[in-house]
Amino acid sequence: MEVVANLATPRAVAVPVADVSGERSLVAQAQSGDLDAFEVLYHGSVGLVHALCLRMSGSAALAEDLTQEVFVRAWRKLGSFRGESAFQTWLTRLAVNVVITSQRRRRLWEGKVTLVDDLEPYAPVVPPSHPGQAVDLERAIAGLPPGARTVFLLHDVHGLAHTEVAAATGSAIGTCKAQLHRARRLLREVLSR
Amino acid sequence: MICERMSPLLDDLVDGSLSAAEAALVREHLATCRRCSDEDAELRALRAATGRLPVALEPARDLWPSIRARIAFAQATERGAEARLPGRGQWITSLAAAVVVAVALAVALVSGPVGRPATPLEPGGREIVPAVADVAAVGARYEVARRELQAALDSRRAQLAPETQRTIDENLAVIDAAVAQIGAALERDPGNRDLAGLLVATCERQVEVLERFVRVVGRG
Repeated sequence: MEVVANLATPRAVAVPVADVSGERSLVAQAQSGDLDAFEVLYHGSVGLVHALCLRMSGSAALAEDLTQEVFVRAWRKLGSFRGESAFQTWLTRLAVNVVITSQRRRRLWEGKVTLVDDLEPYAPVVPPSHPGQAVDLERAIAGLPPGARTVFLLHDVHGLAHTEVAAATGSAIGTCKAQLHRARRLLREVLSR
Repeated sequence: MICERMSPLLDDLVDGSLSAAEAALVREHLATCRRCSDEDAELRALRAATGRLPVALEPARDLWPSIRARIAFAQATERGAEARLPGRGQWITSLAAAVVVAVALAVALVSGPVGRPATPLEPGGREIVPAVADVAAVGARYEVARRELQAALDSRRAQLAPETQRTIDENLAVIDAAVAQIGAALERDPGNRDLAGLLVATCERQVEVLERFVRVVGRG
């Protein structure tokens, strides 16, 4: 089946072979217990993980804690990484799992504890020609229902394919597509006000 | 093509996942339907705006020291559980368990329960040796956070629910006792890397909890 050329802005940038093999080498070293190698991997991907945790949780303080949890868990589970996907894709899947698990725990405690954080403002990069647009979009994304927000972040912001989003969220591909459609519709409604 | 069926296909068109034949059908409809054409334009604008969002957002501070400390804590806990020295291994494990429980209770007050303590590392995990500077730095940070919290508590104690005050006080007592016990043991056995790692990890974690307490109390 011939697929029409993708008109969407590509999010996944092609990684030069040298970088890919360098990453594989670092992962192999970390898998053998080299924490210095893992630290290099951490610095190369903490921004990505933190962005996902921040946008999924809506809390800067919680995002820091979740980001730490992701990397501690990644260190423990490194042996399960087989290189079938990119290391950052594997890490993204782990991050989604950590955040969703955390959200489930927090829902159990709602009403029983005083929650700490309001939605703390943060400053995304804003193109000079559209001073308010990026901030509006970030806030609109933060206002999405959790399921739709997660799928939107993974597919449209982080560039994962539907199969990868489905694997990360434990949902069927059709469900993910429906959630994405819903997210885009809600965002268009909010941003058009 | 009926408009009601068009909306999900517009998503696929924008994502480039339609076949050539399907895309042609959709475009044919767009050429004659203002509503769907407008929706297509809005979707493309949204995709373009989303494409300008940063994929990576660095945290406000370097989280590696805390991550490293947590990994060290897990290693120390594992080694304590495996220790063969009479009394010491058991003591470390019991103390580690008490600290973890105290931290879990403290965090639960502000944000819900945390997960179980880290399970033992994979075999072959490299041993973390905290530098003297790590212990001193985290100890200093702990003291600052502890003082700030005490000051915040004292100034707002009357505004907190009695149960909240009691819970905070009880948890602080457990945390203080755990840190004091580890510190005392380290003074008696300064070369003990397990204890040094445990102290660093414990203080790091507790500083984070205390800083969160301060925010809770500060907001009343």
